[in-house]
Amino acid sequence: MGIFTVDSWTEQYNRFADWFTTHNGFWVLALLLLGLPFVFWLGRRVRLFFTHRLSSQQGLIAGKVVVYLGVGLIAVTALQSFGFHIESLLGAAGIAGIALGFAAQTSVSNLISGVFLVAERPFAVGDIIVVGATTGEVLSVDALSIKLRTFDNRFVRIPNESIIKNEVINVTRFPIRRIDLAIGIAYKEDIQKARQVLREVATSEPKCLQEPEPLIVVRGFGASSVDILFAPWAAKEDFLKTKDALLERVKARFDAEGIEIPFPHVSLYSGEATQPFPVELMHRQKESGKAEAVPGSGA
Amino acid sequence: MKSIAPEPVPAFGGKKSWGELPLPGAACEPLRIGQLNLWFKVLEGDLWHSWKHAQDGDPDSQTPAEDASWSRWALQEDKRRLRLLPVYPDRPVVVKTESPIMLSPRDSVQIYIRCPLWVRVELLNHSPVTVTEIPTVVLSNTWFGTTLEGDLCYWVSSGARREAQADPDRPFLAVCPILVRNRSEDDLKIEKVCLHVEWLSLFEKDGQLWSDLTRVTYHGKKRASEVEVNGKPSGRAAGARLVSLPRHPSKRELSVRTFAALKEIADFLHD
Repeated sequence: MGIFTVDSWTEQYNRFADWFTTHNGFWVLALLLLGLPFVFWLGRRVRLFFTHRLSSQQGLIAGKVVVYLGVGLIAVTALQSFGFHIESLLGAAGIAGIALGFAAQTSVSNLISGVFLVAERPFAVGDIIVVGATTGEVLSVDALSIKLRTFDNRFVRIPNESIIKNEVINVTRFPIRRIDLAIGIAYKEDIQKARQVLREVATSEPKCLQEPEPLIVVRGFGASSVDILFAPWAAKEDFLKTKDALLERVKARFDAEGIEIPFPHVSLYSGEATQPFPVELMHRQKESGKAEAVPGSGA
Repeated sequence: MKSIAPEPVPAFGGKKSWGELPLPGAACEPLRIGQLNLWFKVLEGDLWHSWKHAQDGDPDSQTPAEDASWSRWALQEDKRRLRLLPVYPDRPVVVKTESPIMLSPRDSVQIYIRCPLWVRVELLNHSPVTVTEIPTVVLSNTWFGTTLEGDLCYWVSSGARREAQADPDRPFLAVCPILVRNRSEDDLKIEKVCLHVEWLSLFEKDGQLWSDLTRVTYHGKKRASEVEVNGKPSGRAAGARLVSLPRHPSKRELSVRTFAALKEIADFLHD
């Protein structure tokens, strides 16, 4: 009398076996067992082929397209074999798609932005880019987002839509970079002498490119110093090391030549620059230690 | 890279810099080539080596500084000799002429460059094993090209000259002759030359090192210049003995960027 009798299980099994046989079950099973591994293998081969011919990013996309198409084809074939009507499924999918579309606007926008990013190639995997306040190395350019690794080893995911909408700086696009250093010298210093010393610093640093020639221009007269822009060039891979070495050399040479690098300071004047600052003595200390008012001081 | 050694030279401390040397003992053996101070010693079955470039005014140093950085190479029983081989730098060199040279159409001119060499330290047996390569003179980096593309090169400050003078007292310099031919319709102003030394062979004659002849043919601003390296010593270096083959064998003729301030390659413009 129980539901789960041996006879009922046997009957269920026989029904399933009949249905399976009638609907080309073995063919579908073979399709899944052989077809799916083949599709993934093909995707890998396509990825390697396009990576070798074009770039790793394009290889990745080509491989994924092959896999998605292959899996989709296998799924549709299997469903048709089992007797499902794809047309009605597609119809339902269409309606679901409209509903999904409204809900997935951002994802679709990211997807389309990703296509534009791949076509436009403002940067590639391995480049260092600045997006807003984030600086990092590009790990991948995917369908919905790009992935960065920051220099302190954090993982950052940025939606493709943000990349398309905002300014992106590719730091490593070109082979050489200019190192802009703001150097301030005291007003009393000789600008020509400082310029000559900076030229010698650039010449003596091996990683500093002799050409293009370093730019040395006076930017203006600052609040505490004469501001000079010292801008030599370096290969992009030597940028940080060269900047560090140059700053150290500039300091050492300026110290050796007696050129002052002033710190911010304010000079007080009493009203006339040429007159001494007036100081009025209000109290003086007697030998006994007691303070007494100075006559006529008003104290 | 296949190489053939110059004649054997005296052991450490001799004036000559290149050639085969027996391995030193545990005491530090100094060697000076150009600005380069090299020290070698053998300890615990390993070859230790250290080096430093002297600054202007530095005396020859017999011992390395206490904080000198040492490299260590495990010695096999059968490797008992060292060889110091002169080789070219690993990048092209850029040289400015002493003053710009104007070359009329269909004219040619020969100029000479003194290129500081590197030292390749090898352990010898059936096949040489390269231990290290070090420049004898510290050269500055420079860029030959535009800010968008170009070649990273070394800057040679000695200048390109119209006369070649052998200088056996400075065996770390190789004289590189360049023949420039103007096959365009315009005058060619030669201010600066980029020489791909990695394509050159090195020869030795009477204690002076020479390169093979480089022929550069200028075809105008819109075409890249043709560069041909003949692989043989010529002119004053005729009859010189081969010391080493090029780092990178070149094709017979190459279209490369050789002269400065010219946009030779049409840009593929893209966003």
